[in-house]
Amino acid sequence: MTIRYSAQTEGGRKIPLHDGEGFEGMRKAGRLAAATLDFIAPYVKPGVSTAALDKLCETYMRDHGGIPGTIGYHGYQHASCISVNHVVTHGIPSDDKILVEGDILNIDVTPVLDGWFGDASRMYAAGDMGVKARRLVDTTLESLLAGIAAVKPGATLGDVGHAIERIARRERFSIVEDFCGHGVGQVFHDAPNVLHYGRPGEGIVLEPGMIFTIEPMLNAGRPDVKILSDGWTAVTRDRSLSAQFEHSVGVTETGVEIFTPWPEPAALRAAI
Amino acid sequence: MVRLAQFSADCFVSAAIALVAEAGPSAASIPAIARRVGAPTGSLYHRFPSKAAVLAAAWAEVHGDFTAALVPPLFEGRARDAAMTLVDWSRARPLRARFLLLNDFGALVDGAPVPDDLRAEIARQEDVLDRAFLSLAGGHASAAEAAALRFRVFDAPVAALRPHLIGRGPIPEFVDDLVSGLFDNGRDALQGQAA
Repeated sequence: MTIRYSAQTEGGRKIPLHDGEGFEGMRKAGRLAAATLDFIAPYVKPGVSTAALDKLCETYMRDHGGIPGTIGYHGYQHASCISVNHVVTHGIPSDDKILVEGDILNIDVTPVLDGWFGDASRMYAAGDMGVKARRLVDTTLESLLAGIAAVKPGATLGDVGHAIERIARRERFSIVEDFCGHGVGQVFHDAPNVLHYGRPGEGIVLEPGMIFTIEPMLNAGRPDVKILSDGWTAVTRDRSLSAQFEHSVGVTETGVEIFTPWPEPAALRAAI
Repeated sequence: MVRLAQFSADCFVSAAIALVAEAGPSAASIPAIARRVGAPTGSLYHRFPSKAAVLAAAWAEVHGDFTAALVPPLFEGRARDAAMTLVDWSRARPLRARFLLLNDFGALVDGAPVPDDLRAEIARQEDVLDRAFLSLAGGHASAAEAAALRFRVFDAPVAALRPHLIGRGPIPEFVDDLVSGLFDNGRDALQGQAA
């Protein structure tokens, strides 16, 4: 396997261009991430703790040959991030966090399989979610799919961010700007950074072989977030609901490949 | 898992300097600085608690550079060289010159609180510059003489540079003659009189 690098750099950082072997590695790791997220769906219900969900995810990943990439990452100690309601991202699983009817949550897993990081996340609901929560979740998924649809050789990361931003603004939801998607592969976080807002034609020009995550976070209220004292948990400052979906994708010669395939959107929507 | 982008503080400081130099302090908003770097705003807030903090860091960086350039000739009693150093420094660093010489620190941060460490660093630099100038003046100058010397070393060169900094064009060579001419007639600073 040979890793080439783009002639473009980002803040002095090289952007890897992966070959077919790299894409195959990402397919396997990505499928495990997606399968883990499918596996956990029926366990998400009122009364269950987020720590229990985390343990189930960890067992599933390990049973299928994966290692949770989040454990040990900058001191993080869990196999997943589980972000409930106004938690934007990096929610820490806890025995004390018991889901209640109407909660919405994001579960984010990154199994490492044969050295490749498959990074994905999606939303779930404990019981029935409210109308506004449903609209937020649906719009966040639509924004992710719009961002992915913008990925092709010659397009820019600004095109991707703009596509996401357009959907969010149409529904008057705000986009979290404090966090971004990222290059991924044999390292967890690589170049390029993938902002979920942008201007058409700006930023890194996409080239075949680039692999990165797209993971927009939309808030029902203002975009401002704060990090809690645990150093991880990011919450909306106004305590408004937040939602997120994430795929790992690769730029192909003709378009885009999703490494972390879920069911088709309609089936996924029904499963949330 | 999302990324809080790993950009160095220097990236944000450089972006703030460029934005202020190009379009004034109002252009250096947090989103604009982050966008210029290609980073999420959270990455900026990870390192700087406020817009005032990143602008103060930018001021400390540029003013520190400026001070380091001017202090040697000032301490060595070379007033003409100090004034010419100011011109040379501006010509070599046009963005930094526009940032520093066309702005005022108080207006730049718009009265917002500045972190104590940055405020202390800027005060230290100003003290070094003040002591270097006092050394040049030799301690024998009257208030009027010191003001005249300050005019020739600082104020007049900045005035000569100002239209070219505002116009963003190259600094023409006649500015050198203009500044150097301030020290003709053997009046290379008051230390000549005090010696």
